[in-house]
Amino acid sequence: MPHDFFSHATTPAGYLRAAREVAAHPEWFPIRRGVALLSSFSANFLIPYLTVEAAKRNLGLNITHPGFNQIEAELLAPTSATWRSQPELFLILLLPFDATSTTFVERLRALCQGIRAKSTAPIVISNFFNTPDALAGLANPLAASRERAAIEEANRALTQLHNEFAGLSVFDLAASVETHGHRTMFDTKLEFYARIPFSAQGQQFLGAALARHVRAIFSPPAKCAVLDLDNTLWGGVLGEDGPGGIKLGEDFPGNIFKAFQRHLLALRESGVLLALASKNNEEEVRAVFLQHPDMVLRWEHFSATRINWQHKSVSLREIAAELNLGADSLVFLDDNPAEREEVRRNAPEVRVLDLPADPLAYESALTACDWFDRLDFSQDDSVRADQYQAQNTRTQAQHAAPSLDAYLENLAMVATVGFIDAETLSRASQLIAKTNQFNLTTRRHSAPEIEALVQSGFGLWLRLQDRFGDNGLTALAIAVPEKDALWRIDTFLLSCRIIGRSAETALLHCVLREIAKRGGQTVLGEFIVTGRNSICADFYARHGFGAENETLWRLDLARSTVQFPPFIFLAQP
Amino acid sequence: MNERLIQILSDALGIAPDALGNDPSMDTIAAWDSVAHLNIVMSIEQEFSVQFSPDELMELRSASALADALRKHNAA
Repeated sequence: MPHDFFSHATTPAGYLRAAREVAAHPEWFPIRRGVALLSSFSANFLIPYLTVEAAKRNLGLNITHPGFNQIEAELLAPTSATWRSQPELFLILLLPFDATSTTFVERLRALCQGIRAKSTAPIVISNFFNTPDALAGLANPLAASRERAAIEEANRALTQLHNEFAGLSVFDLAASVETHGHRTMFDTKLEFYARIPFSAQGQQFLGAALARHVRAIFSPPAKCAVLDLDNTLWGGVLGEDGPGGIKLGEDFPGNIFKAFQRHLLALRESGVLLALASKNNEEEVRAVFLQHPDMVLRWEHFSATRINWQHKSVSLREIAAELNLGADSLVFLDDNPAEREEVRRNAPEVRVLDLPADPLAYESALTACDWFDRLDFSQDDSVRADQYQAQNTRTQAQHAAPSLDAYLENLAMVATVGFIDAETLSRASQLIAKTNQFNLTTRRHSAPEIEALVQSGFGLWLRLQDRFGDNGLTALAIAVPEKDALWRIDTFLLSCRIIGRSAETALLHCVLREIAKRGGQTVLGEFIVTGRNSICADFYARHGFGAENETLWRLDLARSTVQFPPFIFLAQP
Repeated sequence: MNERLIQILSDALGIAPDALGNDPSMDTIAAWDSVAHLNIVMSIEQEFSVQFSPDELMELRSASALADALRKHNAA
């Protein structure tokens, strides 16, 4: 793709041309996701926007749209063009008038059931915004209009559907309308002349927001924000201005940096790790963290720190290694363009955020960045950042302990194992989407696919606790029967948090036992090389499996020697 | 003819600027159908910050008519 390819795409005509170019160059996106765009209004005009905005986010889409009001006809007829295109995503866009129908919920539920009868692909449904009419004029805001009530109720129904159907997410169309305003988003002339509800500008905003949502479905999120200190977390340079001279507090411009720190803390609470990479003297920095009254971020909030004078690319690689993350899971934030350039050059996998020159714009730059976007928020996330802290204490224990065995014993690990069910499905699909290193097959099953697999065979999760804390649900395996007494381990993975703790042996032991219980005699394991999972290349060899070929491993259960590891206590769930 | 206008016509119709001819119009260019027309008009409104009336939308069926209308709106 030419470097300045998107600079022309500003007008509807520019988008049309750019979309045509994307279609004409299959090599730009060798993988293209099939999207079925279904709507209660004609959405043809949206296709170029969605195509181009997705391409800007490095995502190739093939969009089909049967025209407006074809949702039922397309989804409920098994040979419709929509089904023939074998969509990998169902995108359903609705407008407020849809919500006013009394059978709205039943209609949507039937549609979702119709999709789920044949496909496990993700479903996206847009939520409902208040129309200008419902808000307009001198109407009494206390007298809720029927339309507003219907819209509120419909939005609640969407939450309910989200809980009912795995793989269903809600696109926040209302937020787009709220952010840009009715006057920008809508165009009465277009609505009446061409039945297009959105203005040209509105279509562009909508295309971008939709592309961001779709991207979050198909791309794993970054996991760690690595922060600079001087002029990033506070104004000024600590080494020159001293701890009393840096700008951080309740008054301008220190209040900008304090607000930015609050924003970063919220990011951490959403499950993103924070780390520091700063050229400073560590003692001086620690003193600021300990003594400065206006620091919102505390030293303990950082999962890894590199305060030194080495190249930041080196620090970033060390941080990645310490946190057991790939360098491509890191996002680097630094006000200094030279540092950003050094990292881009020497650690090109790291994602570098171009912080604007004006600190006032830091926060909006971070909000506009979609690298941390994640749709599925599960309970495990909020405790994740704290778990990494406990991990640090563990790493220190590893240094102190005389031998690995003694270290493992010292950890007093307790494992709980259970079947993947409705309650654990969300966490399971998250692990499957995010685990890169200890992942034997790296099959990115969607939540509905997991459901289907564990129904034909079974899925096991493992939760590991130790004396430093609860690591959460951090390992899982899915096994399915092939034929006769032959079983195949479709998925086997371990979060990097618990690598090197023999938890993989514990889980494998439980999987083999369960297969035997279900009458299996032979087990096939697969190892699919991805370039990032070499850490588990010897997994099956280590556990007595014989190599069939490069990827397939076979074990005769009668001859299995896999024992439950000695340093983990298996708790009854 | 206005260069930005030509670029919009070329982008919307998928025809290189040189191949558009002297005064391209809905009557002479097959690709210039009602959908393309809407795209052209929306693009011109955005690019030149003008608002055409619904009547204009229906009447402005050629490059020259669009250029005249832009002059009338003091936009080009």
